[in-house]
Order: sequence, then structure tokens, then C-alpha cells
Amino acid sequence: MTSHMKRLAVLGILTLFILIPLFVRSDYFLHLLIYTSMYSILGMGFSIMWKNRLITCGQAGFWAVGAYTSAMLVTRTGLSFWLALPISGMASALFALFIFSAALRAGPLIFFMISLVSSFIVMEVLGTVEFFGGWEGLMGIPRPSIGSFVFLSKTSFFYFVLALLVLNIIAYYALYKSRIGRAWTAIGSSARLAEVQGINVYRYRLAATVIACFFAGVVGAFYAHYQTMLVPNTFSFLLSIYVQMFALIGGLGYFIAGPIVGAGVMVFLPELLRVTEQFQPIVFGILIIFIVIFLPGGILSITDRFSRLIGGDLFRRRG
Amino acid sequence: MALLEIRSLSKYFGGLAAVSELDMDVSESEILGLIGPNGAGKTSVFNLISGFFPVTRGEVRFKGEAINHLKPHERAKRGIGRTFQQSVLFMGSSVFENVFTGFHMSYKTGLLQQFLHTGAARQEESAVKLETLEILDFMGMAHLNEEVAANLSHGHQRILSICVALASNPRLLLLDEPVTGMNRAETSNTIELIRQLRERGRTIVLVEHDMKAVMGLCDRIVVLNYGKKIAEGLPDEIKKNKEVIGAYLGKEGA
Repeated sequence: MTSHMKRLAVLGILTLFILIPLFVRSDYFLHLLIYTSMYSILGMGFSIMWKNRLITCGQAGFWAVGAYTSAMLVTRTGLSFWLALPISGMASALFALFIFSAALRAGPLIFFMISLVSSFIVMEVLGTVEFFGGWEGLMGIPRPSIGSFVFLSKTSFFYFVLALLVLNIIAYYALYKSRIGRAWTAIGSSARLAEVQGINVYRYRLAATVIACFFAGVVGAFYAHYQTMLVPNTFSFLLSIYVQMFALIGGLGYFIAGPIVGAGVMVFLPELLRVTEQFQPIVFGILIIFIVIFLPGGILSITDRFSRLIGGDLFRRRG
Repeated sequence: MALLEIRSLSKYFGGLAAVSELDMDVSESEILGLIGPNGAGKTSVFNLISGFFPVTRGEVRFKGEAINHLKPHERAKRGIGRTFQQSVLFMGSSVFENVFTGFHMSYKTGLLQQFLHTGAARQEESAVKLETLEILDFMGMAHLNEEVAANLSHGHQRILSICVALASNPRLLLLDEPVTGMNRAETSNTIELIRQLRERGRTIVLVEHDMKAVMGLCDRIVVLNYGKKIAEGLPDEIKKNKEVIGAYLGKEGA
């Protein structure tokens, strides 16, 4: 499959997504798609770190930082949501820079543990400090608006998050296709050899982390104004684990498409099986065991096997 | 002034001296062999020169500059390249991508231009691709371009690791056992390549157990035993050195 055909395929899929609201009248279905998109962005953040062989267990925390930054700025200071959105991303990125610039010096294992601890701390602070609304959370977060148009319908939010997702994909794609992405792949493949080739492993890893947390913050801001209320328990440790699972189920080797497919499966599967929320972890647990045993490369590795059969490279696995 | 100067260099792991009080010079465009029995500290010396271990005592100077405090990637920028004892490669990537990635330092365009894939960035990238092909061609690996590194034979992996090191355009190239495990034809081919690298102005230090290869290839040899230098000289002198022979045969106090 040539790159030209690949581009056509991507455009085709995008067009399909843009057309979805025209055919699907179910608000609930759109709601699930909105969640899939948000989760995809979080999952891609996990992937960029995994490309550097860093495992994060704290993306929920950075999502929360973005969500609360925007919610507080807009409700308490009356700042425009459109300014709060990038600021939330930057707040989350700065928070990541602050935490991980020290942790990364100590290596990937410490990175993992600090990321885990950071998400606990974020949740506890948001819950216990009255300033942030306490465990009852923040209410009455206004919906975004442009002029007189207010984002109210699921359709409008769907297009909004789709735009964020597309921007996110383009940014990651451009990064992965450049020298920066090659350096990340090199670090993931052999940090020692990367260093000998002159790659500043520490700095590149930090950059990947900060980029991932920036996007997590931006999508957090979106989440706050989509839900119009925030509760600290949403951003639990379990969500950080789910973020890992999005990437793992889709396929760890597919840094962009993997998390999207994984998030889609994890959002829609419980709906298809009609399981209630309390049984979801069981379903996901079984699913992850099956994936690890039978499809260690993730769901997308099926396309890889298939395309090898027909001799193409539809979604060729990289790095 | 020598390209690389090592002055009373010591490295202790706990109470164990991996390298002790080593003095060694490497001159411009020479091929220096570093030999010694197993565990003599040869690879430790490489790790100290390339910056993977902090130095316990002593000094490493490169082009007259003290580089003790520099990280491996900073030393790479100053022109020190190396290979590893086991073939350390980007195993999941193709032969071409391995070398292409190795060119990390050679880019002039900024990261933002790279991210935006501007015309200049793309032009530079195609220039680097050509250079990649040049290296692969020179090292006789061009026919394996598309092959994934993990699938290569041992001999080809060793050659590829030299190709990757060359991508960083090193003034000083440290080769850790470049021909170990190769058959005779591969060995003589690799020796010839290393010679040609020197012709092209690179300075080479190599650690190797294949004595025939070392004696034939090196201008000068430094022998280590228990982290100490026990001899230094031309290959013919080393061959006759009693202490060296004793070290290899395990004779006490020879």
C-alpha cells in the first residue's frame, strides 16, 4: 500500500466520522464516541511515552490538572474558555515538567512510580482542599460558546472533540515522521546506543512526557466543559490503568491508531455486552488476558498479519 | 598533542579496581589495539572514554579538552563514537533505518522546522538518506538495506554496528571486539574495512581477542591485566614480551 493510498484511507475514515451525526440520531452513541475520542488522546499520550520505553501510570492526574485549571479559570475569573483551553494544556505540561524533570534523571522505574504517586496526590489534593471544591466537586461549569453559538448538543461536542483528535493525530504524526520521532524510537530500542549517537536521552524523554501531558491537559479542559461538573473520583488510579489498556489492547506498536482502536473497544464493548459499570473491570480483565495471550501485538496486529498475507503494508508496525 | 590522552585513570567498583592508574595516548589516525585476558578492564576503559561510567580518579582528555564530566551524548557530539561488545542495535528497525537514525547529530535545521517538515528540513533529510546509503555501500551492507537488524547474521550485525557508529561521524572510533565470532572471510573483510576507515582519517581504538587480527591490523598495542597496563608497543614487541605471554598463559609474577 503506497503512502498515497494510505492518505486516501485516512481521509476516507475521517469523512466517515464527520458524516456520523447525519446518520446516527442517538445522543448516547455520540456520547460514547466523544468518550472514545477523549480516551484516544489520553492513550496516545501513553504511547508517546511508551515509544521511549517509559510506562506512565498517572495520565488521569494530568487530565485532572487540565480539567480543574480550565474549570476554575472560567468559573472563578470569568476567563474565556478558548483561552483556558490552551492554558490548561500548559498547566498540565508545566506540572509534568516539574514532577518528571527530577524523576526522569533516576530512570524509567522511578518515573513509573512517580507517575503513579502523582495521580494519587492530584486526586487527594483536589478532594481535600476546599478551594478546589472538595470531594463533592465543582458544579456549574459553563458550556463553551462562540459568539451566540453555545455548544449544547452532542453533535456540536462531537465535532469539537473530533477536531481536537485530528489535531492531536497530525501533531503526533508530524513528530513521529521527523528526526524527533526517530530519536524516540532509537531511545525505545536501545537507550545506550541512542546516547552514543548523540541523543540526549533524558531531554528527549522529558519532551515526550511534557507533550503527552499537554494534550492530556487540553482534553481535560474539554472534558470539564462537556460534563459541566467535575468530581475528583473520576480521575482515579483506575482511569490511569485504563489509559494503559487503551494502548495495549489496540497494539503497543501502533502509536497513533492503537490507542484509538483500544479506546473504541473499551468504550463500546461494555455497551454491546450490556454489563453494568461495577462488572466492567471484570470484562476488561478477561479481555486483557485474552489479548496478551492470543494477540500480544494488540488488535491492530490482525491487520498486520492480514496485510502480510496479501503482501501489502496497510498499517505497518513501527518501532 | 595526542587526540586522546588518558592520565592515571582509575575506576573502582567497590574495592575492586577495574582500571588502575592507566596512562595511554592515542594519536591522530592511528589504530591502537587494547588487549588483555578476560576481565582485564578493556571494556571498562571504553566505558570510561565514552562516558558510561563516572571516573574514580584520573583524567580523560579529548582534543586537549578534559571530558571527565561529560555525558555520553556530549562526548558523541565532540567526536567519540563506539560500538558495543554484544551487537547493540536498533533491533526492530531495518538496516537502513539503523544508520539513518544514527545521523541524529548531523542536522542543521531546528526542531521546529523538523516538526513542520519545511522544505529545508525535507531537503536535509534526503541528503542524510544519501549519506546513509553511502555508508552502507562503503561497508558492503547496501544489499541488506531493507532487512530488519534482528534478522541479520552475527557477522552482519557487527558490521552494521560499525555503520551506525560511523553515522555520528566520529573522529575517534572505539570498536569493542569488532571481529569476534566472525568466520575467517568475514574477519579479513572487516579488517580491510577498518583499515580503510583509518585511510579516511578516523582514529581507531579496538578491543579484540582475535590475536591474528590485532597483530595484523594495529599500529600499536596496549596490554592490560587486572586493570593495569603491563605493556605497550609495536605488535612485534608485544608478541615477544614475556610479561604479556605470562599474563595470557596465567603464569604468576612473570
